[in-house]
Amino acid sequence: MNDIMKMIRFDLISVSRLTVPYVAVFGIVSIIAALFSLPIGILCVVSFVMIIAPVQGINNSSCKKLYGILPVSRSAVIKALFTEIFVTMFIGELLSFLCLLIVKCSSLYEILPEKLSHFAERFPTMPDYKFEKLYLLAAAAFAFITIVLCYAQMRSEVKNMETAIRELLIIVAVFAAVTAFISVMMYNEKLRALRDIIMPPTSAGKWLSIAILNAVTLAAAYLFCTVTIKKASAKEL
Amino acid sequence: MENILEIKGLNKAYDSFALKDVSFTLPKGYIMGFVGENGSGKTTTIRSILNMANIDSGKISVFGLDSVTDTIAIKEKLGVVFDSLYLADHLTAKQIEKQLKPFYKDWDSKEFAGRLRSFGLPDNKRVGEFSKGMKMKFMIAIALSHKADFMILDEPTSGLDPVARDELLDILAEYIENENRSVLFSTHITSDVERIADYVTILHNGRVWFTGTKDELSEKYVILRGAEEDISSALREKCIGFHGYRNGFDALLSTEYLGEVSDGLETEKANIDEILVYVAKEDRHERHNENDKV
Repeated sequence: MNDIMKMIRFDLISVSRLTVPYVAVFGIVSIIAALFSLPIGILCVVSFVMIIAPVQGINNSSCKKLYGILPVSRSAVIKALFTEIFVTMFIGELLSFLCLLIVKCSSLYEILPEKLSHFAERFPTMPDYKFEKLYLLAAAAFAFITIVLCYAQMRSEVKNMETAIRELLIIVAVFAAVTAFISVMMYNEKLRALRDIIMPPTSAGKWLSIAILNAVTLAAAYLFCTVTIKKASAKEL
Repeated sequence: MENILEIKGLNKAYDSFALKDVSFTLPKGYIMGFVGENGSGKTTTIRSILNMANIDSGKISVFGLDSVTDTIAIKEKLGVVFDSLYLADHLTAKQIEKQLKPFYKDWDSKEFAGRLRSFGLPDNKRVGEFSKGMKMKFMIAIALSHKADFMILDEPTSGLDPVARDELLDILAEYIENENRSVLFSTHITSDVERIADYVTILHNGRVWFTGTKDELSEKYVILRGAEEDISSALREKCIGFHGYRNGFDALLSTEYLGEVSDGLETEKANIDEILVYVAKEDRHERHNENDKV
């Protein structure tokens, strides 16, 4: 077992007691909601990931003394941290895709009370080209969360946790403002070209966008990891 | 005699504190008590040995290996016990073993289970719920399970009741029965050092004030007492932490000046605690004199 795998195993055991109940609750709620074609399944997956990530961060920041005692290089510890963030987020993304697939295929919504059933049936009956947008939105959300978390992890390692949180809030606020502005412009048919790039009209285009988003996320995680190793490896523990 | 630890000319400066030219060695098969007041630099020295602090200059060798370039190889054979638990306290001893086992080539699960039993530690209870003495014993059990040949303990007995302290010292005494092993034991409870240490290093204001065997230390200094008029000014200058009061004075004196002690003065053996107190007094006295000059 190489050092990175040892560290990932170490962290997994550390957080297992805290995360297993979350994984169980959010996983079950997400899949049940998806079975009844209710999109709250996706919200559950996102909330699960949003909870998991800080749990990982808290665990790692409290173990710094131990990292100085274990026979493992600092770069292996950092690589393990970034791998954990990327893999957790990627699993979250796949889970949300699974939920969307269940939403599309299940017809259990028919047994729901009339009002709820009327709301739920909109999703499975949605045309494929429209429904695929949801996959792309889910991929974009996870890409954004992954990149922001990797950046925050880098800043907390290089500087400190306070700086990371401050910068995280600024990034999220700026991103929300820019996204809102672009969305309004696209809704008003002002940025047609941009809309076609962000939301390709064809099915193949959407899946290509999802692949590109994941590749960009992986590249960003790798970049932030490399910078962190370079700047934080020699930092005192 | 082969040294397990060698520190030569260690310098490390922070904004408000610095280690200055710290040098000492610890031979294989012995326990060294590493003493000094709070803030004297004991923990910084230990952090430097563990490569957790970046040293400004100097060289640290453990098992003959460089503490910076060979830090991973050193940590394979090094056991560390801090004054607080550095492991995830919501886990049980069993779960912590699962975490640590892959990191050490020589990890022995049977040894770990046996140590937990002999130390009276439950393997299914969260380690955060252990008492302080149990936590210390647990960290020692970990060190013994990966066959550590050198154990570094930073203030392990502070906050422990006398029974737990005694038990811990017995464990260290048993550990050192193997003559290839050594212990560096930082503490400000000097009675523990008097009891088990073979060597003593006294750190004061970031400098090594004394390093050598415990016997050398006890032979090197005495406490001098008497009336102030009985001490010559030349001898008074050689005293450490001279403290005059209404009926006389007391001070620490190097035994090399015993020939200059007049008949009216009394000398008695100094223990480590007393030596530390006189060294601190001397420091205050020097600062006082410097302030007077200003």
